[in-house]
Amino acid sequence: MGAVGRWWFAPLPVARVAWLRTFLYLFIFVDVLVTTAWVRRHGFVSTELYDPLAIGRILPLPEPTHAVVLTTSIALLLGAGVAATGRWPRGAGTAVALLYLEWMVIAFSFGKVDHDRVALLVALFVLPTAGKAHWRDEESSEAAGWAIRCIQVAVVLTYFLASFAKFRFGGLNWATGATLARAVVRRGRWMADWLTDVPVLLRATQFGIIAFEFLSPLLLVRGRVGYTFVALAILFHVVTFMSISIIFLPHVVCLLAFLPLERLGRARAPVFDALRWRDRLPAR
Amino acid sequence: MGTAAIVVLLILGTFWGQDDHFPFGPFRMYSTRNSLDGRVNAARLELKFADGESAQVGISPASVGLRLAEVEGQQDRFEARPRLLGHLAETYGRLHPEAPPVVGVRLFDVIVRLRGGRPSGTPVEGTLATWSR
Repeated sequence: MGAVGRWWFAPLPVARVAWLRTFLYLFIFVDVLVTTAWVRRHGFVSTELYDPLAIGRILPLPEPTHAVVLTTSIALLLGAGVAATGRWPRGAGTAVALLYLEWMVIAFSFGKVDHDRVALLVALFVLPTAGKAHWRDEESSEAAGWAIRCIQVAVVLTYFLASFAKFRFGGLNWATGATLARAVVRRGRWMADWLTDVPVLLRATQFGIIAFEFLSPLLLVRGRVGYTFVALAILFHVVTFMSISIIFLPHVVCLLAFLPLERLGRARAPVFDALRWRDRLPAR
Repeated sequence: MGTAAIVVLLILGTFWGQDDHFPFGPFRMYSTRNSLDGRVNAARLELKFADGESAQVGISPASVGLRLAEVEGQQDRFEARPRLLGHLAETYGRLHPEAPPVVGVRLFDVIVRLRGGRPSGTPVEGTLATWSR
């Protein structure tokens, strides 16, 4: 195993996997019911406007009729509800991953693909592999390490590769253009008016975005550098939301993989005692 | 092995893939470049109701079941087959049972000119496709 392999499989706290599961599976409720509730509206649209993605043409997936969309959403939420408790991590987790993938095919086969889902999809597919995990587990494991690293790398790749996509589709001079001005004109909220009045600020922001995306591998650095970059990333998403009302929320929740969530389990709180099932501590 | 394959697919997707290859397509959010003196366009819908009234409606999942970018993403299909606009009317009816039936749909474009990266002049409208029952 080379240096990359050693890094990727280095043991990390099992409890972090448990917390990530709880947060991400609960986030699916927010995603399906609140922040991207529009996916369900596709069930009201004629399947003649369904234009399946490659994955939807390769796999024998049903056309998203009203019944199919409704059934998928209910099954997804039931699965996520079970998985969030930490029970049947492999079975329920894998079901959620597959159902969420189908949910994404329903979401993105009507003319627009969003680009904020890869880290969450990776997370949903790798979290089941770590097996049983409890919020108060004191151990670390290679399985947890691998799963957490996969999510972290997916987050970093989303930023890092996005800069290359800008060069590919927008050209090397993407940062000197009016991309943000366009976004503000189309989607701007309260900050829009004064933002378009200061084109220099918008262009400076574009340079900032490229710099941020290029430096995103610093997220993987341990200690202060990494945490500073996590804070910077959150700030970036908040400002984006305030200016053009877009937030890449499924991606943002995956930033949790960089935080020492395992410390949450060390806090004394009766709720954790109530949730503690001795028999569910991982066998090793 | 699987891990490496996924990383390679994401990198391939970035340089050679398209949105169609989801989840391995390029991360192209806001990746196109707009000229500082170019144009910004956004699609709009005008519905004609059975009671003779007409109204502009925002394109949103709540109004016609689709997002603005989705209608724009299928704009070529609407222009080639305006009959498809009838499906937007149908969805509008399903989501707004209290409204009179929709008998006509006009899909049009509003174009804002930029000068030095700033909006300038009055927006211009252009019809893309129309359908009527």
